[in-house]
Amino acid sequence: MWLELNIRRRMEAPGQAFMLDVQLQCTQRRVVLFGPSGAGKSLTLKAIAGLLRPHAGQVRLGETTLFDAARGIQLPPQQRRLGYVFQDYALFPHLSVRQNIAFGLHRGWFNPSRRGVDPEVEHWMSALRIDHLAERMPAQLSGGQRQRTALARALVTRPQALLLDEPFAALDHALRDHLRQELIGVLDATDIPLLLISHDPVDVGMFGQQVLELADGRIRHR
Amino acid sequence: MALDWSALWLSLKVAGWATAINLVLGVALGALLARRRFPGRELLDTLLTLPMVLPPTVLGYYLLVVIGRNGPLGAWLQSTFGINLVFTWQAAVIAATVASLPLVFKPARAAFEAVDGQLEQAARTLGVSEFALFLRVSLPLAWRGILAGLLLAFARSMGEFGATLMVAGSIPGRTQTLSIAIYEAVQAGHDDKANGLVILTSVVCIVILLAAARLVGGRRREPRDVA
Repeated sequence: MWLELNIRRRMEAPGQAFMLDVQLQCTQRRVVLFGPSGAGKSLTLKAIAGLLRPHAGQVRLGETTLFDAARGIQLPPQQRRLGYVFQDYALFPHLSVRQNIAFGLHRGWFNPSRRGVDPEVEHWMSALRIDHLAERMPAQLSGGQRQRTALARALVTRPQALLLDEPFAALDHALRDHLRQELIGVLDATDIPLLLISHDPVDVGMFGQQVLELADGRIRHR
Repeated sequence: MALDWSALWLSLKVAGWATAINLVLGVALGALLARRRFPGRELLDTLLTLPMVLPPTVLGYYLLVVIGRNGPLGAWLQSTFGINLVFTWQAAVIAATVASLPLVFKPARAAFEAVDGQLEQAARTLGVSEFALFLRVSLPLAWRGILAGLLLAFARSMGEFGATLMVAGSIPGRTQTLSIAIYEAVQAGHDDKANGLVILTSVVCIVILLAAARLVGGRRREPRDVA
């Protein structure tokens, strides 16, 4: 079991309230968190990454406690070492592809230089076949190229697990199958644990060694 | 017609200092108001915006109350360092800074609010500290709005009159800025001098505006097609 989660969090917006109450264990290397939009999938992923603070419960990654409300443990996202890929990729618009990917390798006050070459960055750019785009800005990229850049940016920091939020939803059909195969290749090569969010049954078929179904803020047991 | 270069130099010095202080103060306040939720947030915004709508004489009076000999800050400076701010060029800097602060922190706040919060979250998951991500993500993306505010603030500081006159006075060569020198010249009937100073001021303002347009335009990336 590489991830164990038991969290509760009440979300309030004017005129509506939503209760996130999720218990799950990831026992397989590739896990799909499946459910309709609005079920709380992204919130769950954010809680794992430390971007959303639950009101109660625990989050454990392997032997590490990332969050424990009762014991007052709340590891900041910076120390969780999780490779997070956002649904719309969240590439830094003012940085080139190469600078985006190198971003997490530079922890200081300055962004990686435009010309700096790092072997890790070059490796992931060629593995995902975006090396010819190194100097491009995110606005000049197609959807698939953005997705690869975001994936490379997450992988280059050698995360303990990959958290992917609907990674194929923004892409057209033909490209989806292609990029799914590519992700399978990356997972085979790195053996990195994966938690993938999707509402697409095809993703369940391809990545769901274990499938968790979320509906209305709760895990649905089948 | 003898031009009074000391007034021009003093105005540039005062406006330069006020703009430099507002770069730090305005950006910090803009970021604070955009990103942190705290009680009294909107009240703070309102209080800091007041110098924009208050008559300059009222602002000058408030400043005198604070930095004057009997004011809390003035008395402390006098007793601790033997410094008296009133009727010095530094008092003119304070007046210009307070008067032009809203022109910096308001656009800075709007610019920081326009930065996609998800980019900051992405930076966090990549292990970059809060201060580093401010310097590397938030600030570069908000920079354009901040720069526009700073240019307006510089221009506003060059033209500051009422509050400056009250706290710094009009000592030729020491606290008499361009706009005050013009007023004095007109009052004394020295039309030649007034003419010269007015033309000088206009030329300086045009040069600043042209330089600003060039600076902002030069930083703009031309639109690119999606590949």
